[in-house]
Amino acid sequence: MHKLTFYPLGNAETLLIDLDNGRKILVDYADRRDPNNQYDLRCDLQKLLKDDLKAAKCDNYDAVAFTHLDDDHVCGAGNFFWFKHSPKYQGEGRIKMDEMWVPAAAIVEANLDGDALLIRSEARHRLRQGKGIRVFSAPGTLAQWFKDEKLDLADYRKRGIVLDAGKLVPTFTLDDDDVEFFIHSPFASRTEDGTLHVRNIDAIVMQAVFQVGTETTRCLITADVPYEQFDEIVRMTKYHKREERLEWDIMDISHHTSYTAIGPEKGKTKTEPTDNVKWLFEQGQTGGHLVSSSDIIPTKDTTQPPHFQAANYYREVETSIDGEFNVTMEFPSKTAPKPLVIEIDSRGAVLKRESVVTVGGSTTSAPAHRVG
Amino acid sequence: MSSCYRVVEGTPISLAEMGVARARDFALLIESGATPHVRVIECYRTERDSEIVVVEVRPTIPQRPKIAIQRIEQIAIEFAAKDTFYPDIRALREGFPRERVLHLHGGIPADEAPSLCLFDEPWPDVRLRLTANELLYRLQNWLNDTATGTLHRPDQPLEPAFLAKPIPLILSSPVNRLLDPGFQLRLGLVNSPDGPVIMERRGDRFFDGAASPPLVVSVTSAPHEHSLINTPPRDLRELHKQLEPVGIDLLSEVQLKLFSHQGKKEGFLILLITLQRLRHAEAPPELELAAFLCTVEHGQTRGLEGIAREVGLGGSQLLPEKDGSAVKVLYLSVHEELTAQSASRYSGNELQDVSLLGIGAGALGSQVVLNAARGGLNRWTIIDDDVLLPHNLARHALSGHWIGQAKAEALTATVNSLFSTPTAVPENSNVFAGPNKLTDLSAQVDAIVDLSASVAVARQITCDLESTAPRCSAFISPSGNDLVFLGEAGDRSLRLDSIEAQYYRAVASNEQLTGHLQGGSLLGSCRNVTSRVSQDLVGIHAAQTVRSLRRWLNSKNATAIVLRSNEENSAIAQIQIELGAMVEVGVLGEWAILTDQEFLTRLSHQRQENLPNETGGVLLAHVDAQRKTLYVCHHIPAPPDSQKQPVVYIRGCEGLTEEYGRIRQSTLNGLAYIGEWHSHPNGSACQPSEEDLGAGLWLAEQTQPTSLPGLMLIVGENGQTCWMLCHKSMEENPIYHLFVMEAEAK
Repeated sequence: MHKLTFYPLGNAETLLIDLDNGRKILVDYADRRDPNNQYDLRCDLQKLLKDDLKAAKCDNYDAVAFTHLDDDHVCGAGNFFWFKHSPKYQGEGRIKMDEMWVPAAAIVEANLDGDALLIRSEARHRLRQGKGIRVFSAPGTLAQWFKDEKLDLADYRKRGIVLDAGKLVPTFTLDDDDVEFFIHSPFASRTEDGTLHVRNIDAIVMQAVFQVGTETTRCLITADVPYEQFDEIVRMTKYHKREERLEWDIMDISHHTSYTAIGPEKGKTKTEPTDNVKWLFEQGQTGGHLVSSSDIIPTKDTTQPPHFQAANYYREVETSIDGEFNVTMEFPSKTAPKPLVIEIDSRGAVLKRESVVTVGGSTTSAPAHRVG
Repeated sequence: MSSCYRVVEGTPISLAEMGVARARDFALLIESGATPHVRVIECYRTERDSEIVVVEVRPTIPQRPKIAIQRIEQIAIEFAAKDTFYPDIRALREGFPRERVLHLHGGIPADEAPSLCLFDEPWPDVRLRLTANELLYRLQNWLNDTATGTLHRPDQPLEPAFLAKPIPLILSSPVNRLLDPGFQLRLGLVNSPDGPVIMERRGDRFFDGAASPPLVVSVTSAPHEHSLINTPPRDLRELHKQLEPVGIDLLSEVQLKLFSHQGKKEGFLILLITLQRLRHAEAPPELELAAFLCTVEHGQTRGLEGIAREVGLGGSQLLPEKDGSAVKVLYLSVHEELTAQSASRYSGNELQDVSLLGIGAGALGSQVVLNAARGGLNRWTIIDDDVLLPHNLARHALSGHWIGQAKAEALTATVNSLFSTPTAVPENSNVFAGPNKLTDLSAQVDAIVDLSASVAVARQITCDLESTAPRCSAFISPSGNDLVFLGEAGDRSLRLDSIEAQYYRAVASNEQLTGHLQGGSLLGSCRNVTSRVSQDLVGIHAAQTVRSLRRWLNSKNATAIVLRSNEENSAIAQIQIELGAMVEVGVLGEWAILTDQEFLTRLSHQRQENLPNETGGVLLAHVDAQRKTLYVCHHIPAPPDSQKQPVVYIRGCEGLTEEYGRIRQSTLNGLAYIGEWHSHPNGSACQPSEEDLGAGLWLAEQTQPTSLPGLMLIVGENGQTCWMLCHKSMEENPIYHLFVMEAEAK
């Protein structure tokens, strides 16, 4: 059995993938909770992840993917991970990344600060070392960086350190791990012409294919990419006749239910998808799950995501596939959101709905109330 | 996906109006917000004053469920007004699955909402601990686990095929015998306070009446998953309908059978229905036998003729309007009498298909045999020549019904009464009376079990019986607190007599066995159980004997254990006695000498520790005067005042008398002084020196008055030993018998 855990972090995303063989993959890290605000319902990400690692008796992830360097996907990473490039970010309690996965943009982007800068430094360090990293796509800007660094890009490609869209990430295989990751994005053709990087476009999009016995379950991890990128992904995938690479049982909804991931117009009550986005959502399998890592869906029009019009489109998809659309900050309830867990077994994806607590179960797992 | 839900009968009420405590607690729990995947839709009061809480539940269901539970289910839970019965839990969605669904209540008409079965214990037990929380938990789990097809646990028995109060039908013969055309099922009737019981007749059972042999129709279903729970059929037509889906055309089968037996008009009809039921689609079939008794009550013609008429066979003409609905069917639960297989299964034992010769049907013997038989170890030949007397009943397995009867006969009859066919045979004779008889009996069994509490019997079966069957012996210590179980190696390479000698060594030297033979008589046998041991101790020891026996039969290894019952707290401690391989030294003069490797090793160690000096001590043996056998098994180490030099050893005597006395006492004279041993240094021959021969003469003179020979044992290099038996009658010079034995090749 494999397990996906989506954390309630507001409009921010972290996805933990636990493989049946015990290996762990973290996709993004965004610890956005305000510890000084007792009404902040976002989870204490650092504690939850550390508790989970402690229970598994390990202090590392087999791979950590940073889909792009926006704050809602990297916030707090500097406090959590062990960075090899600087002793300042090493020490007890920090979590090691056996392998980092980053888009090429995360190497070449300029004008960064904070956690994003730290991740770029770490990624560059590992790239120079030639180990513990995979970079997705190789645009001209990355080629230039390799040249400046006097590194051999062709050799890095051969060694699978630099990977292009349409390839599988060699770290995990169906044979050894019952999972494979197929890279959809970024692709170099978008960025070859210049230095301008639109992070959402240059973000990592992957299809994770899980195997349990003879049964296959697929999850699309889409970061914050906009509809234009989906259009392009669909076009390219169809061109290569690899439509099955866009089938999904679990859709990790892009950009916190922003209409921009569906189509150009927000719409009055519902965002209309582009033809390619519509086609993409028709690839959802019966009983599948749509998960939005976002705040509670508002009831009226808003500027910032989530947009209720976009949610209405996803609810339409939910009905058409007899599946479920869930929002991290609303699950299981708006007043007490908890991590949303989807298990993958021989019967496909299973959203875990905790039964009512058994007597003493929750009481004995936490310290008792202070007494005088 | 939109769903339609059934309407609940009753008057809507608010939470505040609720009067049934369980209903209110349940609704309040959900309303508290602690259960995010459940919400209350409405509460009702019925005309019966029960209260219904209708909830919407979102279960955990997989993407591809086995049973189509949906993401949202509406459930109505009806709580009885006075808490007199389980809450009735109904799934309200139209089309809620019933096919292949386990744990739905039977007897619910198809036009009603299906009723979920959440409990497998009686309501009085359930309600003791059922809280609203527990009820909700069970409901959620029912839905979750039904969706994945895991609600029925692998260790649970299959769901019953028919839910009805049956009339027991008890069969002594295997069911398939009933299908044998030449077999006549003789049935008897017992009128119990709980209704009639039908039993196959046999001589040792009581009946209130007899019935004429029935006609038996046997049918077998196609394999099918065990979700079929039928409401009790009232007539043959209903039963026919219920069996159609599992591939049985019952009416045709009945017609065919009756047609071919048209000559037979009296009697009744029994339907034997073998259902091939599957735990899940890929599992092998498990057979369940259901039976029905068919009668015609209101027709003009009764018996088989009447039944034939009611299924359409009107003598020379067919009666197509007769469909069996006038033939009443009574559900019979078929119970086969115990076999070794079923007794083992019910006891959680592996079947051990062995035949045993049991010697002694006394307090321990009778209980061991019956305990073992009940657990499936039921092939016994039981030897005893005693009769059951009133005082025996204080500790005997037999009932007072058997007073004055031969114990072997009575115990055999009791064992055989437990099983469908006799498996035990009695031998009402004395072990010592006819060795030939005993040899014949022992040649036919897999093992011989001595339960006689007699050393003589144990020795007799060990040494004087020609049989390859391994022997074991169980007896209770004089205090009643300890049970001893001794068992030979499966190939008899280590025999009971050698094990017994080693047991005496343990009794003399193992601190854990202190006081083991206390309370016994120095003149009598250590196994003479005093008449002051209570049944509770004998019961414990009998149970322990059977457990030890089963283990011994399985392992085929030699064993010697003492199971000590603590008087204060009833705890049982197991003391395992280390056993050495049996070593037959040979026959010296008139005496056979046996020892064991454990003993020889101990002497070799002492020799080694004292090198370059010699050492030695006193030799002890268990003596069989009848068979002129010395079991040399124990020694007393060199007393502190002994002189140990490289070529000289003079055994001292400080404390020796006391130690010898202690050993005699602790073993109830089981071990006796038989001579002396000493070591020879490295490089010296093991053969006796001049001085040794002189010591031999001294030894012969010492032991002459005891009627025993004197034994001198010299332990040399590399485990070599020299055995010298010295004896002297009044006029003769001493006679020496010498034997030098090499250490056994490893």
